[in-house]
Amino acid sequence: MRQPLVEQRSQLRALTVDLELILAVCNGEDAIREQLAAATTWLLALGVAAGVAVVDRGSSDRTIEAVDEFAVRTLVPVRILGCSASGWGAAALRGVRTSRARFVVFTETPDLAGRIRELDHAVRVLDGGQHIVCLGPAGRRLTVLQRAVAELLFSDELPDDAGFVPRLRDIPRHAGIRMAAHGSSRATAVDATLVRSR
Amino acid sequence: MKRRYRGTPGEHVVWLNFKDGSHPYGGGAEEYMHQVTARMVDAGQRVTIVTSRPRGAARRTHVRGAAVRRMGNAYTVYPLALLWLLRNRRAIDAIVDACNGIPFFSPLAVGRRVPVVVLIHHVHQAMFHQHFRFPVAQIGRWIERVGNRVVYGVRTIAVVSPSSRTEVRKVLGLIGPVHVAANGQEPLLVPGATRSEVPRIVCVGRLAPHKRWDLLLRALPRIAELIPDVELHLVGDGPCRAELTALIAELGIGDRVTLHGRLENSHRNRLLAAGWLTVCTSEVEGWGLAVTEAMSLGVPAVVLASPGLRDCVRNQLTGWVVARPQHLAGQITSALIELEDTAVAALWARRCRAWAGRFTWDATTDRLIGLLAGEDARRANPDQREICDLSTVVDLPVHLAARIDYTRLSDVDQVDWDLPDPADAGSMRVRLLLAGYDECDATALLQRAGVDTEPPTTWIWVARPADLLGWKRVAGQRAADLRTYFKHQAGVGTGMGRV
Repeated sequence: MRQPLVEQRSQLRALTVDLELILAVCNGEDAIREQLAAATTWLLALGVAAGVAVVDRGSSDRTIEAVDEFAVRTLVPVRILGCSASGWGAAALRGVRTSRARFVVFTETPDLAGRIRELDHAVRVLDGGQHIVCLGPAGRRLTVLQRAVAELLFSDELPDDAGFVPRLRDIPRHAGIRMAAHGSSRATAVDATLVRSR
Repeated sequence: MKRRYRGTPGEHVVWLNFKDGSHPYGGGAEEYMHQVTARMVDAGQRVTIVTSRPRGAARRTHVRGAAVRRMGNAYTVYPLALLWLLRNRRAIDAIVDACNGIPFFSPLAVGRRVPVVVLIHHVHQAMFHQHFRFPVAQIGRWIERVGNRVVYGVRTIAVVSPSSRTEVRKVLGLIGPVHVAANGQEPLLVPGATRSEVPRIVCVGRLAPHKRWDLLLRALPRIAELIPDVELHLVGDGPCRAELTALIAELGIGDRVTLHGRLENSHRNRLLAAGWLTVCTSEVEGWGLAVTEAMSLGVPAVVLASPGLRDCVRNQLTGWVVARPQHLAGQITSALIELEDTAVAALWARRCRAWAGRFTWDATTDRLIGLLAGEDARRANPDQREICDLSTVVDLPVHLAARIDYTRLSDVDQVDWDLPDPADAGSMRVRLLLAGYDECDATALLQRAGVDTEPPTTWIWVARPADLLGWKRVAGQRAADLRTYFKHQAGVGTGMGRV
């Protein structure tokens, strides 16, 4: 049997990074290289240490091999793990639970070209005391959360896809969670900010 | 529901296959069938092969202990086999339904009473257009895709390679659990074989359209520009023989190409062992048996990156996987130049033999029996677990492996272990392949068994396609001896085994 490299084994234990982009994929052999290239190129430009966690939801193709091949060629730490439970939300929760990052990112479009300033801004907002930052309209949504908050929210209600907007409910567990939603009605400008302080 | 099949002696297995080994067009799928059924018979099971009847073949015969019932031609065998199944359904404990493009739809005859495992060597969607015209090709494609899905539902599917698994999901859209039961092979021995003096390419396979031997023949003049004494030997027969003969004449390479036709095994093996290289240009294969057989004789391969073929070659280790047909000539030329050095060729040969040695028919048979038993367990007690193509590999030391009760694992899980090192038996490592599990599930399972899951003692990782190949045994009810064996090995390692 092929013996995997040490870094390919037991990747449930993530490297310590400040921010981790979580990609839940299934049978994405054809697209995953481009997605990772698009994401990691811009993550390198971010002011914080960033990594990528690819959560495989049971691919029958060579998605994992494609990620392996990419991971050895990039400076951004890329880890791959599996999730046998069905649904995008379960995979997202697996990624969150196994992450060691302070912040986790979910994006509908892994191509972060032109969005790195938004991401940088989100990190600064989170550093400023917010727990969740949602950026962009549906279809281009980027959600950055504190890892512990993401775990709490996902444990309550699994999101359906990467375009989710966290739902803060009026329950004691959600008390004190602060979310900043930066919506945009025009492509170029952030024109509205909603901060719900609880 | 009562269990019917546990893989124990006396049980009756029916193997449905469009051809058998005596069929004029018999090939790798038939070899697979006869090798596995012979071992099932050796294990005390009763096996009946139901197949078509070529002109002049006996209706009833026995092949290596398995009863063969031949009926109908290439088309009528399907309804006749269904009738046969219907008549004998109470006496059948398990069915292997081999899908050679068109499956036998055995569940229509036996319903949920009998466990059925669908065996798919490769997907035939593209081949229907090569062999048939409208509308037969369209009907065939529809039956393979839609008919399969409707009739077999969530029944277990056995495929021979990770690539076939991808095809089965992507192209056919089948929804049952898919497991790899790779081809085995007989160890080929050619005493006193010597490598040919001149660069020789030896290829074995049917002269069928999907094999695309024309690609190799067209590449040959370009190879000969740099290697003038190169020669090609093609072993096998088939419908394309006349076409290929004409192409050889057209290309003017008759002096360096020999079409041998079908050869007797010992003659074929001697020819293969004398080769420098084997080449497979097939567009689609379930598994490149001819390639791994060549590897077992130390002959590396150049193959196209087509499904099945890219699984049986470890790129740059046991051969070369070529992404596009137009790169064939360049890759074959550079391979032959590299293999000119006998010391380098010996290194390649060693790696090829080690890789090919992992594939045995005993392991294939064990796997098929395990899949049938697993399907029967699912049939009798349907679990609520979702079907997931994920598998997880656990790599642990033998003293921890000895704590696991392998009979509690599923029949579709697999076990592999290193050969014991006489100097340090305790260093032996054991690997488990847990089907449908992710790392968290595997960790929980191991912790329940009291196994330390922390690296570097134990490693756990999601299985890559290559990890699905080359396993020794299946777990489950028939694996009770494994714990004892590992306990013994662990005892030998600590000196306790001698007490």
